[in-house]
Amino acid sequence: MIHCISGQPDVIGRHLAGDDIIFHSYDQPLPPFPIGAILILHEPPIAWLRNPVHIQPSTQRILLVENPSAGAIRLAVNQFGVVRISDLASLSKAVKELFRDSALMAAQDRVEGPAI
Amino acid sequence: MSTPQIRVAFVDDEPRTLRAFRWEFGEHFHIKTFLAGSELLAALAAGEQFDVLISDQRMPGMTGDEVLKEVSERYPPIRRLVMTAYADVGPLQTCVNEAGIDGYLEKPWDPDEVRDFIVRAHGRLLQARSRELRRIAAGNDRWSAIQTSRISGVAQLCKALGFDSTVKNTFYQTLELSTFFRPFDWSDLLLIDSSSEQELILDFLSSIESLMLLGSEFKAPCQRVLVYWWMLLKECPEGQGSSFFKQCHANGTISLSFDAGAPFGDSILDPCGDRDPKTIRRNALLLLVIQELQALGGSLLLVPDNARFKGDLLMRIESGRAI
Repeated sequence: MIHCISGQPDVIGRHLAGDDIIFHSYDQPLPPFPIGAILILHEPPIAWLRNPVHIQPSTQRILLVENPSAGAIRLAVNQFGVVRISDLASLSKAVKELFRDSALMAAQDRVEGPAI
Repeated sequence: MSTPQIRVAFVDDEPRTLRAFRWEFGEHFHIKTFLAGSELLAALAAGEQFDVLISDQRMPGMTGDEVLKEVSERYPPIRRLVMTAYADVGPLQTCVNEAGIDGYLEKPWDPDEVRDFIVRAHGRLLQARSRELRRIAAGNDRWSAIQTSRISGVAQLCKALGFDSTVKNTFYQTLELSTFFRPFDWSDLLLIDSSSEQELILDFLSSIESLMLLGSEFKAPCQRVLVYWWMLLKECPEGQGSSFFKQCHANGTISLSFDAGAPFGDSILDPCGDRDPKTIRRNALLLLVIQELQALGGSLLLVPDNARFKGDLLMRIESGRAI
């Protein structure tokens, strides 16, 4: 399952055509994500990155930015545990790369019980 | 805070920075410093072990992202952090996307932040170790459960077809041997959908029935053995199996030797084996060969032959009477 926080859902939808995406907003609280979900942070405001919200450890995060700054990368990695930085052109590839890990994590949790 | 058990490797091309790092954090962690990524890699290759690696980014020779990427590929359990005074976006992206870093530290460093990141990275290392152990244990349980279910399914199938219990046992032994040497990833086991186990056995039964119908054209068991055997070899992936095939008649017996790795590399009893129609058909043919050999008083023998390559087996069929 792909979740995305974005102000431009239509742009994301075009680049991930065929995938089911649940969109969220930077000014609304986030719901709990299912185990193994992928969360895309699309052009997050720096102020938002400075105040991390709790996200389940099993959620794989992608920072989607066209021209990232070192400061944004630092916050995204240190505060949000982002595991991929991507632009729109390579988003589909980044999502595919994370899908297998997510599927595995979900399968493990079915067998072992919830993740840490 | 005193955590000397955490082994930290720090790479920076500035000797003064290395000294300062040892002075600052030496009493908290077991620190070893390196002037270049190549020195660190040499130490790792020589068997030194670290829990956390911190690398400077801008260095002559290997840059930080290159060091971190190399370590992530060759020594994945070591947690990785990058430390830099510069805002080089490209290498930072490499550090995240290809080296899987846990954090990005700035120079000049904040001692509390560095200590915090090392402890957190070590915590992730412990979590990853624990998760790996749980994964293996879960994989073992899953293997055992699926194997038990499949063995029971094959036993029912043999009973329904009226095959002797010796046939069933020989089939198990053959497939156990054929998969014994094959390494697999425990992750694959966890992804198997257990709800389709019964379906697999039904596909197996259906394949056997259609082959038996084909074999019924041949009246003598010896003819059927050869027909099933020939079909089995034809089912091997191209260029395998038959390349080692040898046939020998002597003293009223027939001996067929060939590389058994190809036809039985994927077995129906192996939870990680393929379950495509060809694999199911190969397994069905194997069961039928064993069944017909039984009627002839012949035997099936698998001999591990590690001299050729790991997991390769040599199979020999000998019928006990003239055919």
